[in-house]
Amino acid sequence: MLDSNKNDAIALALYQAFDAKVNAEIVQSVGYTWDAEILMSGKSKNVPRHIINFIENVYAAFPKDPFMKQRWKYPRGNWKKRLHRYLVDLLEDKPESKRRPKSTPRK
Amino acid sequence: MTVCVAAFAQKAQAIVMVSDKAVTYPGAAALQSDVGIKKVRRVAKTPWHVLIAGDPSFALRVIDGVETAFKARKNRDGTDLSHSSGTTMKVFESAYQIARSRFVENTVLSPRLLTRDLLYARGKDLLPLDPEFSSDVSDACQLANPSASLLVCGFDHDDKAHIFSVVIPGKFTITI
Repeated sequence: MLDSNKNDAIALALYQAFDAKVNAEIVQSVGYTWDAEILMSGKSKNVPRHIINFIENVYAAFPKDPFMKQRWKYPRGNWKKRLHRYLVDLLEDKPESKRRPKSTPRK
Repeated sequence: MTVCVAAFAQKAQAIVMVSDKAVTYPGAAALQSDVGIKKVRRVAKTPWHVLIAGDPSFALRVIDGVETAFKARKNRDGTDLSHSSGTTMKVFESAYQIARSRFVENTVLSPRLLTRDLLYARGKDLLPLDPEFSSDVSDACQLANPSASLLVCGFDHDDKAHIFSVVIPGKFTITI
């Protein structure tokens, strides 16, 4: 079930869309890998792979039960603000080096 | 099964689109794999994007039909149908119905050596079809549905965001 509001920030809307897709994975034939794209008037942007991995890590790090501790060390700090800033900058065509979130886990 | 999700964001100034990347090869033992496929396609150079679920060849035929309709109208009187969400929805609806009609002709009528005219607009110089056969073919036509759904997202001329879906048998549903 997608619980979204048209006033949601892009980062939240993206996360909720991913959450809806994860919930649909209960159906056996739904694939695990995913793609995301953001549309704004006059432009569209693919969400890059490292942000997709980042959102997957956020999903894995924060369990549904709020009384449990965060499972992993990352994402660190104010990752929500950084993710939002990154996505807004992506849509404003800022250069890659300035907008990559620092809390993206390394493989 | 494909999952396509679209949601408004930033006070409806943005649309977020998410889809999975799995492909299923149908058959006795269906094979499924996550591949590098993109299930989002832009409609020519318009502000409309389509998330594709189900049979991709059918969905691409619908999108081609929409692109052709946009182009034909622009060449005829310079009107850009993609500027309005209402006309875009109607063009999608019409393109889906045309593609479905061809699908039914190819999968139901052609194997029985029939055409649409031979079934529904039969000339007076031809013997009528056996009513039972005719009824069977009519039922088969009704049941023959391409398993493809489209989720269309984009912006109209006033920069207002729209999301609507086009599903079997070619009707659109608006998301508010």
